[in-house]
Amino acid sequence: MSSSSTTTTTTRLLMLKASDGVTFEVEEAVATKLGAINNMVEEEGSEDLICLPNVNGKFLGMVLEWCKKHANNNTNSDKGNDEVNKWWDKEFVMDLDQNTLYHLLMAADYLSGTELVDLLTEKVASMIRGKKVEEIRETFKIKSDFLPGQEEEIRKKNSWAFE
Amino acid sequence: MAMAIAKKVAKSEASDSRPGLPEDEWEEVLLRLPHRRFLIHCSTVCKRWKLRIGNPNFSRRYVQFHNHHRPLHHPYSILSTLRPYTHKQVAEIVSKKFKNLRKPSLPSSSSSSSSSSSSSSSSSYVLDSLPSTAKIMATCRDVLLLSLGKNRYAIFNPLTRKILRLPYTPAFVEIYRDADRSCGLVCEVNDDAELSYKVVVIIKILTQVGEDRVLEGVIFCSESLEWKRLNWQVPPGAPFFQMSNLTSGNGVLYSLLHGNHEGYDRVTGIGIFNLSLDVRLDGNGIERKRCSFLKLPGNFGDGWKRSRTKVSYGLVKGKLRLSQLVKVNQTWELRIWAGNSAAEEMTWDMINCQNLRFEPAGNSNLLVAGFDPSDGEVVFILCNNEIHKYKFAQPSSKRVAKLSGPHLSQNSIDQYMAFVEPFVIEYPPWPSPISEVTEV
Repeated sequence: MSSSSTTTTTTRLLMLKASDGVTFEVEEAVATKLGAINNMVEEEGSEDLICLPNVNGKFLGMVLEWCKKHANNNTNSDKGNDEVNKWWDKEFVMDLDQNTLYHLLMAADYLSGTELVDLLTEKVASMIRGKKVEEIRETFKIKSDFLPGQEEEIRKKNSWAFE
Repeated sequence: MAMAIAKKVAKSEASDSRPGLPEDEWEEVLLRLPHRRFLIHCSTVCKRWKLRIGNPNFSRRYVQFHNHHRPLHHPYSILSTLRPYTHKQVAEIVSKKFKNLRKPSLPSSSSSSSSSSSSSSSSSYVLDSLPSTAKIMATCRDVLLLSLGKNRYAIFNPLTRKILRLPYTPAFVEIYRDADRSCGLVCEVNDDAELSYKVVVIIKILTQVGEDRVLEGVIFCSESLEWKRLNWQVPPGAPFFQMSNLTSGNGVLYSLLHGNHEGYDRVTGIGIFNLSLDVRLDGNGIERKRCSFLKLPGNFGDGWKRSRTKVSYGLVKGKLRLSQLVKVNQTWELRIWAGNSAAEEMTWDMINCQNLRFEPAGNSNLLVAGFDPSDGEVVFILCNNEIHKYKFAQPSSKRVAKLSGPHLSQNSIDQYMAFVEPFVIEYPPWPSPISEVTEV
């Protein structure tokens, strides 16, 4: 009895339907890396088809790719796998363009993929640190809305941070 | 229902006008910046970021996030100073992370220092910001305890340059020589981003009070904001008559003790001063705590191998380390032990015992001048007038700092070796906030 129930949980397949109608068939163990899906699955009598109207297929696919990697590598957890995951994560975020990064982050947040949110926010943070203020604005296309002198005032008050 | 829709419209409008992340995601991003310095840079990017970063709730979240979820590999610097002659810095070892932290970030022209500038040309980060008469007495986190004279101490953050002069010490302290005192500092930043600290000054080593031998001292706490007498009871028979300044790790203070060993001044053990232990009042109404005496490891080299230039101690990730570096038959041997305090009783584990794979020039003397506070496989070795970073697990070495100072000449360094004292400064993401108190 107990053994048959474990086999059904590991092999159960879920259909995830993105906002643009694209569907993905994934193992439950993979999809439940996402907190939002995990919650739905844990609810009694959940269906195998889950609609995700806020996530576009392109980004859902990427999120699931990440989940797959981490679900597989987590099954036999040792230190070596940890290293592999880290390396894989690094590759995963390395060449993301800003638009994709933003959408992935929003998708991961919506789906409560905590670890993935952590990875992606860390990536955005790495694009900030070490940059000069003008470069930060340029990178993220933010316009300064300070009145003349206001910016200077902050700098004066915290001069240690600008030396 | 209507509200939910309204909210959604407002949100999509915001993202239309500024293509990018929703505001809440930005908070998560800013939270992950590794140092407050970067937060301050970001607060000059736009008003929204300024408001968010300036919000006390954000500060608290930031401090908590880094207190609880982040690894403890902070940027650091180590000041090698001479005691007791000058108390002036003679060398500053700066970690790579610290260099990265200090990269110039001014908006435009003033980035004159090129990235390729060598470390030796800008060797001094901390000393330049010190008040000229100050002597460094102790460090904890990114806070220095400074002596500003016989009866005046201050705590100082070298990064933010904020200084807090403590009230004058009680009058009786003044008769004891500055150079004979041992000082310690314990501080922490709580989840509300507030600094609490304790300053310990031991002014007289070993006095007989009735049956007991005690170290006489005073203490200053951020909670009470006043000096109080505090004596330390020494375990019976603990063999020492001199002690180094106190080094702080995980809220406990340690000191290397010297005593008479077969007629010579030798290192005899380590004193442990735990401020969280109970106090009791002695016959004169003075508070007293017990300190404990930690013996050297069983396989510690004996005799001259215990002289102070051969023995060093420090803290790695808040835990005690002890080293012995001796030359036997033309070869240098480096032994390192790690303090293991799983239980109340501290024991030593030997973690390294091998010949030094490091070629010092000529007949020069070597000394362990410090431990990397987070990398347990790195020690710093003083050789001639240079400090080398030495990785003992896979032996490799690299010159990282050079000694310089008013009293130092090439051929006098051997003389000074016994007085080299390292002060480790670690720079956590949220600099210890120091604010002036109004003086009475």
